[in-house]
Amino acid sequence: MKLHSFRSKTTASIPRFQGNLQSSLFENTLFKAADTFFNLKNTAQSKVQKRFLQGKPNVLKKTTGKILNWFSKTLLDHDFRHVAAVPKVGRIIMEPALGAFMIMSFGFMIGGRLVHALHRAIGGDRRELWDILRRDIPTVAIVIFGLPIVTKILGKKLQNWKGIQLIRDNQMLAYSELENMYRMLTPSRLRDILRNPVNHQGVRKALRHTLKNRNLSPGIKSNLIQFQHAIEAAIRGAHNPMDLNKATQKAFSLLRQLESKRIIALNKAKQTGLAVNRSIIEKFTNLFHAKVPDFKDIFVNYAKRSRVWNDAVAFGIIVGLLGFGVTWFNQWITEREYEKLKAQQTQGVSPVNQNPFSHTPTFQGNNSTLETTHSPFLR
Amino acid sequence: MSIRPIQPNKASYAQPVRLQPKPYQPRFGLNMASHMLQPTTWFQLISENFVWAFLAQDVIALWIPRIINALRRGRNPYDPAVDPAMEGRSPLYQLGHSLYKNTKGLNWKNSLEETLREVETGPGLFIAPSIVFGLGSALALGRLAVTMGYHDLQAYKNAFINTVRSSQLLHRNVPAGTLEKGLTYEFMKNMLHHGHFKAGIDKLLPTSFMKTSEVDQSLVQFLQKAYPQKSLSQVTFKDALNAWLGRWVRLTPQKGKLIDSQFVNKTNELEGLMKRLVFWFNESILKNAKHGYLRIPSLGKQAETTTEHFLENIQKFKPFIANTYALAQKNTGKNFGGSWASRMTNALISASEKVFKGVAIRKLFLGVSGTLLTGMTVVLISGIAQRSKAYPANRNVRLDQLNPHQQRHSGVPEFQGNTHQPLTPFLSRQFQQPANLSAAVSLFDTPLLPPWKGGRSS
Repeated sequence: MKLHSFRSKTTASIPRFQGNLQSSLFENTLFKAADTFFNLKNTAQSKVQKRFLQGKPNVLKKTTGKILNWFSKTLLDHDFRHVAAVPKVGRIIMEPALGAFMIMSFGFMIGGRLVHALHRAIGGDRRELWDILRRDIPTVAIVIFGLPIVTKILGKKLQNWKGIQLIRDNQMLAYSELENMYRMLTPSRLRDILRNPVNHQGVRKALRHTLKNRNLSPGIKSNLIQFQHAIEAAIRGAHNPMDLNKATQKAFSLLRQLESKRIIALNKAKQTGLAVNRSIIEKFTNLFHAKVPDFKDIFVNYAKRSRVWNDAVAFGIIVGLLGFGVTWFNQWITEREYEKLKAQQTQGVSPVNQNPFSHTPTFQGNNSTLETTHSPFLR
Repeated sequence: MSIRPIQPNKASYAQPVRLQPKPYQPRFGLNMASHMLQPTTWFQLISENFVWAFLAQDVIALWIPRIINALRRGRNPYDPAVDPAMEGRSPLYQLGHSLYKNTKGLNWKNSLEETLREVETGPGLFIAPSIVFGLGSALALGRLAVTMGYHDLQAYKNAFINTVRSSQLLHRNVPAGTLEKGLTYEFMKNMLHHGHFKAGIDKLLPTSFMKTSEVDQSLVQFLQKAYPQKSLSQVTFKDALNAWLGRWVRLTPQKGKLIDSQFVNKTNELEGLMKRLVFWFNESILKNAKHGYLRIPSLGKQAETTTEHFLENIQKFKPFIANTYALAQKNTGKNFGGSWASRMTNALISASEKVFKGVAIRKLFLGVSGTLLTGMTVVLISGIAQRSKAYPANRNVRLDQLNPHQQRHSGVPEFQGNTHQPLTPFLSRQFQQPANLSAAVSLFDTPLLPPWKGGRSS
């Protein structure tokens, strides 16, 4: 085929772009603006680095620098890039960048609510404003900044308590990452698990937990005990790569035996099901998987179960503190203040100058009705 | 309040296909119950799937408790024991009546307000940017590339320019319509073959292990389909990657379809396969590599990337190449001299710079307008939520009703003028305003008069 024919065909099939390749001055200016905008975070951070964190800064300077660095990292991040996927539809949900999210929530959301609350404040009753501030500022702050800090601290504690690595690069490992890390698919995987001294305690615990499973047959159990001994030997020789390699090879061959025994047992279960009813096979299979988990996943299951504590606490914080707690506190404090004022009035004490919600304590009186004006600007 | 999923590691959040599929599918009945009772199942779903994350963290954890609290705050409880109308009625009737009255007495208005507030801050915060960027990526130059991170886009653009510079494809006689796909193929090959997989590209796949793993059956099937002549133990990483790249480059969404679930499924399947390949490569060749990580030196600063992030970015970058190619085709003969190949090379480089500039400008515009539009939506929904004249949560603790004069009247309280009663300071501001005004007048009118006419001397 000749080149010219190919060129003419492909050119004809593209009707969309009519522009040329030279950028106009306007386009270049806009691009410069965009480039500056998206690099704002890095520029600010390098400036902070130069002014506050280089050389031998004093404590105050260093602290200020760290705070400014953190703010520049969060507030100046306006690059929308996180897209979430919806099953069968694809990646369509655009999540706001952190800086944009801060503007949306602290600026527009809380600001908008405050303005609307001011508009309908009857008789200078600005308790709704306090409700909003007490409810929304902690919620946004805890969700964006509090929870990650809490999960990180908790993750470190959990890692020490459970004796298995759950954190990498100062971040909690996700469940699917734990699956990849702790599934014993190859001898090298097992070796990597055992080489890490953080995992030793957890590995022992996971094996002990598996041995407690009542559904295991005596044959499988004895094999599992052998596997446990091999793992123990590997842990003892973890400091020596040669010993570790040998021990893990042995442990892995035992694991393969265990797996094959499990598959035989599973097939037996299937055959039993087949004798009864075809639809029962699946039930048998599923029940078998549930009762006798894959031996390759002994450490995966343990690591995942350990990580659940972290999520459970975070979830509990959301439900308890942000879901029920904050709104309940608002109700409690409002009712308490109201009861106080009511008690003062029934006792004949003038609550003048004692109302925390009023801004102008003096009252002279007028015959106008209450709900006619809602503008805060008239006050 | 909206909560983004608690997933601390963005790497595996909202991945379309899990690397390890579930060991078995739960069915209704006892089996499903035992499966669902495992907290790991739930928390994995919550932390790794956007839809589940939204349902669990926004709806269950925040909305429902807050709506329950909103219903209870300011409710009017009803007790049939103190209701004279209930005397002589049967207990069942009393129970039914009290249920009806108590339900009616809940603060429904406040609950509606709370619901709207949660809608505003839940979906409200990501629907507007999604619409803006959705339209932007449908209409703008560069298409989906507008949803890439700016620095990622810059790195991918530079890598593409390097591919074009070093490509021999332009010097060959390529059939019509395949040059664009060929360039895409070369670009990806540069990234993977000469990047991450460079160290062991010719090594065989660890099929002995792969076969034992249930989860790799899809990869085994894919390879058997791609190389029907070969046995699985003869397949190298290079073969596997070539087969994968061929399918990935050919994969395009159907034209004119807004939601192409077939395309999404195929993309997910391919992404799952690539994740498996990276996993086995890191496992068997790069023995000390981070799990799920790719290292692609041609991306410069963005070289170390998670597989999910890389797969997402190349999906977004594909239309960028298409548009660059189209623009270069249009301008090959206009601005450049020399042979066709050199003209095309120069045109492609200039076009990619031009498209990059366009995408960056559009990204800026879409980002700013997305933030502003979200802000406007949020303020608008706030207005709708708070449209009632009074704050419904405080309907039973109204400060203006503390005045004994006003308690006699229902509805709008009436003011009796200047009385000797101790006056509540938290009464209407309207009461205060004229008073303040008269005070101000009394302060200001006297000094304006000269002293001999009764004004204050100083």
